[in-house]
Amino acid sequence: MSCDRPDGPVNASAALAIEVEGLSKRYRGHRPRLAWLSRFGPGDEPRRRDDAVADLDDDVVGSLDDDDEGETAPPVGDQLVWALRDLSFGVAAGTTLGVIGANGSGKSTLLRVLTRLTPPTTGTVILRGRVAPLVPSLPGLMQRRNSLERNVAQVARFYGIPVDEALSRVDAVVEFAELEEHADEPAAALSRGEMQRFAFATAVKLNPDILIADETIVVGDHHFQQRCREELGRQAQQGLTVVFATHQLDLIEELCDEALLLDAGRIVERGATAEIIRQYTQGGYRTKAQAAGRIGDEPESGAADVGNGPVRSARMYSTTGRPITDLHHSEEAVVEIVLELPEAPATVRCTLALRGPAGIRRAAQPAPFTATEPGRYLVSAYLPAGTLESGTYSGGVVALGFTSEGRHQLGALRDAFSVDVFGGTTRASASADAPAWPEKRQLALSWSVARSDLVP
Amino acid sequence: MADALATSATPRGGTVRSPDTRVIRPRPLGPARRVAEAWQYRGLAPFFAFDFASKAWANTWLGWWWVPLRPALSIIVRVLVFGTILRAPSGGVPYFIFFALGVAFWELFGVTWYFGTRSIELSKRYLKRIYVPRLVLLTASVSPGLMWCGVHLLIAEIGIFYYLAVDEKLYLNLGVNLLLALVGMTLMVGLALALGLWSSVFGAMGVRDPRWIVRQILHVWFYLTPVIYPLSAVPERFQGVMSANPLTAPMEMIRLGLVGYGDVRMSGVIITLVTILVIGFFGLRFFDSSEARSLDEL
Repeated sequence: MSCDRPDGPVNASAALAIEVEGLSKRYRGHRPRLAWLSRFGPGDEPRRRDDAVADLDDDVVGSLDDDDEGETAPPVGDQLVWALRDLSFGVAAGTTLGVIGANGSGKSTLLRVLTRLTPPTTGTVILRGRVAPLVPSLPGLMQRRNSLERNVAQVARFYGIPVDEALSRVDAVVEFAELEEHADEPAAALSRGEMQRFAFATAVKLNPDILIADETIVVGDHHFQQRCREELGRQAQQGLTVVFATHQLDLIEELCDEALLLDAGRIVERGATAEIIRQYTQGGYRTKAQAAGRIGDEPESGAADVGNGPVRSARMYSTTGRPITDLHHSEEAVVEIVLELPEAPATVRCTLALRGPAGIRRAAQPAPFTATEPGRYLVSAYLPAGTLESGTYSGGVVALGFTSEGRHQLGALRDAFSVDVFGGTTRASASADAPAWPEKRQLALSWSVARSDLVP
Repeated sequence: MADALATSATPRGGTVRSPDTRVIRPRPLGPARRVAEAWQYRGLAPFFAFDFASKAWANTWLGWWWVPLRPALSIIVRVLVFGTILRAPSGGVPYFIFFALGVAFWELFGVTWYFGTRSIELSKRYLKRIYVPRLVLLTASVSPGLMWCGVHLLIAEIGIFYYLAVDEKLYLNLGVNLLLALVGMTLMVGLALALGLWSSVFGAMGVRDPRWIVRQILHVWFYLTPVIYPLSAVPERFQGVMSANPLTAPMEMIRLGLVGYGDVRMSGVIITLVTILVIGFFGLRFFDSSEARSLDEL
């Protein structure tokens, strides 16, 4: 991750304190183990070689094996998951922005990127001013044996603020936290509540320009919480920018000038707090891209075509996470299939069909996967560069279910997306000596499965 | 993309308060900027240095008493085995002093590399909450090595005073030669940090394999380095090979500087310097390009 300070002059009067453009974040599941070694000991349960190889290199193209017998299902969650997708927004200085969304919508990941706890996969974030994360565990950065003054200096070091500057604000911190009687004592003398007050006061009184808060923004008893609100309001008037993510909608409504609604890592809406909260609580919202008909073709809630079964949507994305309708022959791409599995356990296998100028290209998951819990699952198929020749393709998905009685079709989504592939050879322009493509050619793709509502 | 950029309504504050602008991009920071950033956050190094050093007595009944006890017990047993029973050569220096000094600086190297490997992983409770330049953590990993080195040196001092009283001979060079020991010590720390640039990235991946591998390497390396025996005790035909060990020259420099007994060869010093520069240069590039991704593994 790069975090540059621009070399040239900075326009300090620019109104935007935070600019986010094209931000995407992709998480990988837990680190792959050398699974083939664990076969020879009492370690982890043996896994298929394909899974181990795929784990070791996500770009590996898995073999397409139609033989399902005796295969172990790959573990769900051991895969790549997009937590944020193509986020672009700005936050004006002095604005308090509330970030809301369901679990797994990407709120915390967005804050983690803003506070540099995790690098973005794509995109740019511009932060104008000192950023201070206000985390519930801020006391964890302090040393209980040290005095309050030394702890203020300690937090300043973590924030990258000069210690001299921090020490000049110790009195203000102690006064705001109402800890004058403990001013000369070590932090160990403070109760848990007092420690929280001290931590909040330290974070706010060190005069950050941008405050990033996840879940907790006001602390202490009712009286102190009111003081926190007043202080945040006062500092916002002076230009403090706050980005605050929480499920406490009343706090969002009270503190925030604006709100940002996230769903599945995408911005659904941005606007007046009350309106965004209304959208969120009433549900049924769709992402901007979905509303514009650019993503999915997901059926409306309650009006699902029974023929689709659990297949909610399918869409092609670039490796940077952008939905695409055009793909250069030399580029990689990902097809994401969203499955809604109402019952568990369920053993499912997806097949992707791409109808193009030279017939149908099919790719099936090398093995079924078992969903141990009901919910929404994201099945991703990775198309290496050069997989598709030039032409227009229409993509469809078939989901098969496996039970003790055999396999059966759970549902299918035809013409879920289309993509124009350009820059490669077309069938018509291919050399006459080249072998003709079979009408139903199978593609070797790399697959992954993840719970889409369990994104970190 | 630009049309998706949503800006807010008129801000209450109106202007950005600070000209301190940062741009976060996916690409690595770059070795030079990374070093500069670590320097900016250097004030955090003592905090993490104490945090790492305190692992020596964390979760114990005896507390910090373990800090002198562990090396003392270890030295007594090993001096009995190697010095008294096996009669290992020590070039005229009492084996207790010879051994304690050797192990002191071996600990400086070994513990620094080991904690360097674990520096990111040991700090994950901070790294999950707030941004800390990871080079600061690696630098702070020198502290446990220095602590154990210091304790071993104190024990060696006790031996020196004992033999001063018994033999009426001071087995310690006091003078300009001590600078040679300082150079050797610096080379050892430099090599440990250079190796840590590589191993810390793997150590952050949430598995124990990297640290166990480092331990095994250290175990073998200990016997390949003239720590418990002098280089002169090695058969001559193997001495050239031994000099190729980048730790041989610093160890001999330290012995020569402290007790006046050591075999420092220029070729060995050059090998050590080149090794540090090569491993450190490429290690910094590797660290720069890889450590950010390892954060997601924490």
